[in-house]
Amino acid sequence: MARVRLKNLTKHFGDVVAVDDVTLDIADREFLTLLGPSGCGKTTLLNMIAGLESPTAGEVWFDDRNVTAVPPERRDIAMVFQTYALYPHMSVFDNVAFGLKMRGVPAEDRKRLVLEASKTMEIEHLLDRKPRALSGGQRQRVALARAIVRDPGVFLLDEPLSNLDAQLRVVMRTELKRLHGELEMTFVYVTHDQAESLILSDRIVVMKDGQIQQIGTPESIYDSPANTFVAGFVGSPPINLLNGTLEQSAGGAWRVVAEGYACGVAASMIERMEPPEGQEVFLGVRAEDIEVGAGPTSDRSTSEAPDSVSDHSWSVARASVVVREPMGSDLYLTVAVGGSNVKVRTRPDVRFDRGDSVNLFFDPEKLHLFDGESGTSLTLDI
Amino acid sequence: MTVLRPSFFMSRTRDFLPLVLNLPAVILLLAFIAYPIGISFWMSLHRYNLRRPDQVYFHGLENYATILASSEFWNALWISLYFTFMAVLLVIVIAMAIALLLHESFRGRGVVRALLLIPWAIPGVVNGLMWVGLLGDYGAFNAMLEDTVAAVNYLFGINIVYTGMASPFVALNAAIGAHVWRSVPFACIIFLAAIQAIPTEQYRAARVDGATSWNRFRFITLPWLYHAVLVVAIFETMNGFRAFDLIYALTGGGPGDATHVIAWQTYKEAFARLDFGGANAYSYLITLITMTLAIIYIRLLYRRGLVQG
Amino acid sequence: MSGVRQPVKPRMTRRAFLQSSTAAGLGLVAGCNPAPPPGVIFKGWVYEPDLVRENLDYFERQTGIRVDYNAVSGNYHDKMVALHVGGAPMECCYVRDDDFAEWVEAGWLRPCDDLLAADPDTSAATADLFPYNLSSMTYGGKRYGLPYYTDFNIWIYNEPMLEAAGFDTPARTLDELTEQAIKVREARVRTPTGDVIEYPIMLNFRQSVLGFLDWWTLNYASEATLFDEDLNPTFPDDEDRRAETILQWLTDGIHRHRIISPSSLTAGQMRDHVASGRQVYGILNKYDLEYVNNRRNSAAADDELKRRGSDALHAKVYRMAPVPSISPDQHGTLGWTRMYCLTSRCREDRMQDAWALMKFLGARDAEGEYYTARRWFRLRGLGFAYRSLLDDPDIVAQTEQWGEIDKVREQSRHVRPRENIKAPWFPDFKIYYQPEIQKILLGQQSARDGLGKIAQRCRQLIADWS
Repeated sequence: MARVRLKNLTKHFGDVVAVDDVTLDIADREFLTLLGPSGCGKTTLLNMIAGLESPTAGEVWFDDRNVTAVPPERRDIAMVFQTYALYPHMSVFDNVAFGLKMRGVPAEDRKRLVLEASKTMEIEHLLDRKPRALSGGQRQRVALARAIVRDPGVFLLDEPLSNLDAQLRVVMRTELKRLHGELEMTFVYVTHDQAESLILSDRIVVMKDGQIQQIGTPESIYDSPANTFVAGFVGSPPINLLNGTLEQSAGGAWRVVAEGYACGVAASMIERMEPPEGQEVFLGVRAEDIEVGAGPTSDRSTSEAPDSVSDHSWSVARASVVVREPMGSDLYLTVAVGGSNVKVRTRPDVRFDRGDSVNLFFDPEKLHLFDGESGTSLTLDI
Repeated sequence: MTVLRPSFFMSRTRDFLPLVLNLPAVILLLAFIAYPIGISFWMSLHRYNLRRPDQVYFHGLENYATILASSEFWNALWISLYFTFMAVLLVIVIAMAIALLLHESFRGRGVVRALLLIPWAIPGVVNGLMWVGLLGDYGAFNAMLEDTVAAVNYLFGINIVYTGMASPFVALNAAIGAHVWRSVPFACIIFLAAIQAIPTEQYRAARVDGATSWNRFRFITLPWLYHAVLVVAIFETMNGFRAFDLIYALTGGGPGDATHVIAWQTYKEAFARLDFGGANAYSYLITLITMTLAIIYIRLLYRRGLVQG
Repeated sequence: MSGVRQPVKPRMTRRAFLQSSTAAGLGLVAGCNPAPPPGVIFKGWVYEPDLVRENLDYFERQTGIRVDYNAVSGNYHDKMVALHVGGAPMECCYVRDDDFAEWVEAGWLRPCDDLLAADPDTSAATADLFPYNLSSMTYGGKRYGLPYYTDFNIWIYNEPMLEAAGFDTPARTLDELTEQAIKVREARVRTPTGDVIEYPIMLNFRQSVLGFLDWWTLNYASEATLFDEDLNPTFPDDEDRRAETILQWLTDGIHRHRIISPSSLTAGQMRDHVASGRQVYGILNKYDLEYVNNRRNSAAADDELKRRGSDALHAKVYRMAPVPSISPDQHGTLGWTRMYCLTSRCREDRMQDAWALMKFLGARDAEGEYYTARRWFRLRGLGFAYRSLLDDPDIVAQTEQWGEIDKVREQSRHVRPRENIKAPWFPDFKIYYQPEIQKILLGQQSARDGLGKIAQRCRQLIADWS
């Protein structure tokens, strides 16, 4: 059993606040990811869970034990590092066995446990080698084996896949997911790769500047980002964010208006907010939620909007294609709208090319509205 | 046509020029290093005593045989081995401890590091004379040692007579102490450089694995330092066998023959007995011994120290 | 058109540079071999080089001969070996009697019999020499040197301290000395700084290039004969086993009776130790008696003079006494000779000038005076090799300031040089016997065993060198 609770955890390095009053509850056997850009405090937070850094304020609890003052040697944790940190002068076997040896496990048991862990990580054939004779992927497996062999309550991983090439990363991602399923340990995972976090996690904690921006399942983070930061960080390509003003038309329909486009907002969304008229907003829409069609052949003005709100396919403006990026199964078009660029994902057989003028249609059910100043979501239930 | 001549010269010059430019250095090397070594060996094969300048003749390995049969040589060798062994051991342990200390950050660390280098800068004779001052009859250390012995006598009810540097035991170990004091800075710098190269994540992984600080030292730090230890061991062994100016200034070879290290013996052969054949033979024997020890060290530590990756 | 001209100019410049630098280098090397200086090249060890220079200036004024004098710093013997082996130009130099035989054998010294034969005055001075000095300067029947200075060891005792302990006269025999010293120690006499003297006797048994002069002194005081005419060792079974007795006395003095300081094995210069008033008895060079009784050097003398309220420079705090012997009728002490010799590389055209210099320094000057010898005595109390000077009124008067001329005259009659000093194996012996004697004094081996080993080594050396 290893439930991790962080209470008001803070870490200062001199004047720099690395982690700012973080409170977090990690369930037993959960796969939790700390996601954020570099410098956001995720690694520091992980180190505090490990005990490698001591917090300036706050507490760390494992189950019912306050382990804030307990050194890492005596917490029941295992850790995998970005650089694997294998002991270069020991064989793979000794590397994996090291933790057991330090805890006084007798030799026969050590051997048995090491062989089990090696089997799980498929490195039995490497046991006699030294780390310098292994490839990156193999070293990663050894690091994992070293961590799992002690059957810890909490398994901490600090960007373990960052040093692998793209293909290997994909393979290892699957491995980790499988491992989590098999081992039933609590995984706390740190990464800056949002794709990884979406694939692997039970829950994601998005962090920026030492503070938690949002905690939630991958779906909720993706579908209902709490602010512009989360929205922009999670998802590839990043969400399109456009400035605009919220206004209500004569017929009662709401829309966001800015120079170069106008976009209708679904009534269901409006019901969840209390939008004052004229509020500055950020309109967020993901590349896959945009339809692109041929540009206006008539003189229909862009600021004209149909009165009917039942029309759920709102056109935008006269926009022109700037870049065409074919990517095998998809086609990405970068389209200039007013003063900004919007990225659209569409089918590869769409014919638009650079310079073509097009119309964009945003799916009104999939719009995200954020406060124009703070960036906080206007639609998310707290 | 005219282009051919200059380029012909150019290519010749290109061949000769490196040779010519290297020549001064090569000459110096030959003259000051190769020649003395060669001539020294040649002389060691002759009976060559300055007091009998007309009786210089080729002697083969006779000088070596005489030395190896003499009790003075074995006595000197034994003393040198003890001296060197203790010196190497103490230097490695003390320098390692200091290097670990200097690896931590604390206030004034820069000053301490600078101060550390001072003993190294002191010439051997000055070092010897300084310790004479400290350990002589009116020296501070002598008084401290005397008081310590008196205290021990009082506490344990025994009666050790303290005679200071007139005691062979004290004299030899004092010489070792003075030598170690001077050698520690060099070793410390080598260890410090090696320690700073250890990636910190190794320690983190070890801590998570449950290693105490002693275990971390034993399993992480020490293996990374095998090469550094090797370097220091070889250097200090050579230095230990070569210790002469310190002995000259501090003990003059005495008391008795307690500090008759092998370098001292060589000096005596050369200058007091004017036996240059024998003295050169001594030098070569020292070389052989040092080389043998160096090979032993390399075999022991080189393979264990390979830590790329 | 020949096309683009090759850039010949830079190449010439480089070559010119190499050529000129080579020429400069060669020029420097050539310049490093200067012609030898015009005067008489004279080398000695560092002892009062300024006074030596003053003597030489006087000589130059008297004779117009130029002298190129160099005091060789550091270990004189080793440096001179290097100079001689390297063939450095030299007309004459200082020689110690310790090294005399060695340097003759090595072919570095030139006998002066021929020059003496042509110089009746200096030959006459030979008769004035103390016999032991003369023999020290002669080797293989040939005469090599003229004396620089000579001296012998004396036994000294601190008179006020002895009186404070209740004694009028110092002990005469070794056994009496043991008793007396024990009582002096028990009387807890004090140094000028107020410390109690733990060990009344301190001797010089530190290993050095000179060897254990104090050991020879004690042996000769008991009239021991250590070597026979063929320089075979007589010990450990010499007459009455005196060598063994003396060593035993020394060892007992250190370990049993605790009257001789163990630091005797490590202390060097005796005169400073004596001058600071930290011992009651000791052995000194005779010329150091002036030093230890001179208030400028000696805390003991200064103390005494202050106590008397006197402004004088000297106080006879330390006095001479016969060196203690096994029985009271034995007399003797060790003496040594330092001389000037002509080197075998003395240039022919300088020979006469060099001889003139040697005469000036080692015998009489142009006015027939023992100028240099008297000057050394006057300024530094250095002993002289010429017997007649013992009656010289100036010298007598000066001696009386810090010593007693009668005792000096008396002791002078019993001085002996080291018996085996002219053996070709003397340097080897010198290296060997010092640690062995120290081992005896440390109690690591018995006197008999140690002497046996030394004798054994002597016999081996004799065999090697014959």
